[in-house]
Amino acid sequence: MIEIFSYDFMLRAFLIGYACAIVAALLGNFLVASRQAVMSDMLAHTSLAGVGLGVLFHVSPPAVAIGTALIASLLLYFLSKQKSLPKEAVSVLILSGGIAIALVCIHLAKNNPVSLETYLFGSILTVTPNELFMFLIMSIVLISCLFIFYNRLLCLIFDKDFFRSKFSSQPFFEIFFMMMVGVFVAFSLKIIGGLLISSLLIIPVLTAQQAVGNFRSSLLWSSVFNIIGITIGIVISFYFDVPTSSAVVLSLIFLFVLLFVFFNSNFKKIVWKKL
Amino acid sequence: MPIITLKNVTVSFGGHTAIEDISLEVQQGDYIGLIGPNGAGKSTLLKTLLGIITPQKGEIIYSKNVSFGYVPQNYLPESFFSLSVREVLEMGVLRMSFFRKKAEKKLFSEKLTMVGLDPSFLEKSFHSLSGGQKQRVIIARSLLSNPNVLLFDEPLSGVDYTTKIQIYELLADINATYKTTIIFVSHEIESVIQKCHRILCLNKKLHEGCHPVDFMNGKLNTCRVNTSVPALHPIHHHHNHTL
Repeated sequence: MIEIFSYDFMLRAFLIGYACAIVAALLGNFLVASRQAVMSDMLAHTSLAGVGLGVLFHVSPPAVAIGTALIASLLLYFLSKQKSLPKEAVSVLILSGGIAIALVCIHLAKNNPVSLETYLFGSILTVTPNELFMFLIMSIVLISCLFIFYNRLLCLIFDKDFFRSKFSSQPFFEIFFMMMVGVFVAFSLKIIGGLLISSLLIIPVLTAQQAVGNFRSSLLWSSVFNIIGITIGIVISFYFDVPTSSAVVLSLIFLFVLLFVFFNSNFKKIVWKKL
Repeated sequence: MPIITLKNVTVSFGGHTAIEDISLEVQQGDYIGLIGPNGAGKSTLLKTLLGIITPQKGEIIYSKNVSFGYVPQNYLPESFFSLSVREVLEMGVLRMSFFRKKAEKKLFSEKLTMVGLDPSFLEKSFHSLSGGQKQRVIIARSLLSNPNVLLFDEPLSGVDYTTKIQIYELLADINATYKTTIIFVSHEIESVIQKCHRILCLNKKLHEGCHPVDFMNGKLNTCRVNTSVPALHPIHHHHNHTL
């Protein structure tokens, strides 16, 4: 077991994985509470379009991915304000457009040195010290924003009418929240991949909800479950040579099933009695 | 000097008029009941006063020191998450407090006591409370910023008659003790007549001079539509019919 920690790249993987786990869990609770889970998938796929464009025009793919995620957030906000366009349907529209642009760009960019697979499925073990540093800065900024605006976001998500009566900045906060998710997703492409990042945002929230109902406890426990999932995933991938992101996602699903069965069956009563 | 003056205010949504030509003066310390059939524009009028909805016509003049507390009709619908009473109250505070936990707890306890709830309710789950207790928590939340005008939109369901009466008594107490102006939407006409200083009969327009019971029963021939400021005269309780 000590062997795994003797490699620098593994230490970096754990560090960036934990930072990603905490930010994803915090944002994920707000996403699930506001019934916008599809939005995370939409932003991930449009970030991939950014990667494609970056590869095609030889500009830093992660930087363009952040740009496209921000544009997609704005687009989603303004399109979903149209009465004839339901938000989840608009999300799917932008999502498909994003992945289509990504594939076209990668096809046109002949002999490109960047593999789209890295961003589709993630590559946490190849994270550079520079990428780790940038990710940690981004995590600190996002966590600070979430805590500074916590009460207002809580109010916006759970009681829109009351929010409007107190603050005149509803559009600003809606866009601001989408952009926070967009930036996080774009930064996380390399870690867990555009196709799997939603699992880190959504699954731990569902798992935490099996054990606790309260929103604040859910913030804490979903972070804990995400960290456990990341740890198990990385360890399994190291010893059994399987893709890390898949191992992480499967660990998260395993944790969910475990808690779901425990809290929704007679096991709980039996164990509780014995304790 | 009125704290809020509405002059010929009209609000419409996509060609459909919600409220039309409303003129009204609200004084500090007023306790006003707003009645009318479903779709009469009661919630729209409250939201217009709050500035959530911008009127297409007319103007609203506020005095300098006016600050609102609001109890929305559809507060905190059942959700995937359950919130504690503390979390619900936190929504009424601008910033999350890391270092002022004690002061915040004191403020929350004080407001809960004001609405007749024990401070131990802070840690209870909001969704496990009864309809009346939920409403009290929501009133406490609206009082956190010490507003001088409280707008109360009654929920359509989930609260029984006795609880409603208790809530009206609570609002009347707040009005009498703190001189807070209260405008509330109600579906319980008897209790409205007993407690409040003025009654506004709204059915897209404000109807004046009719008895609230006749108005709610659709007998509008005794009413006249009011469009000028000053609006309604106070309804004196001794003029009311026995109900």
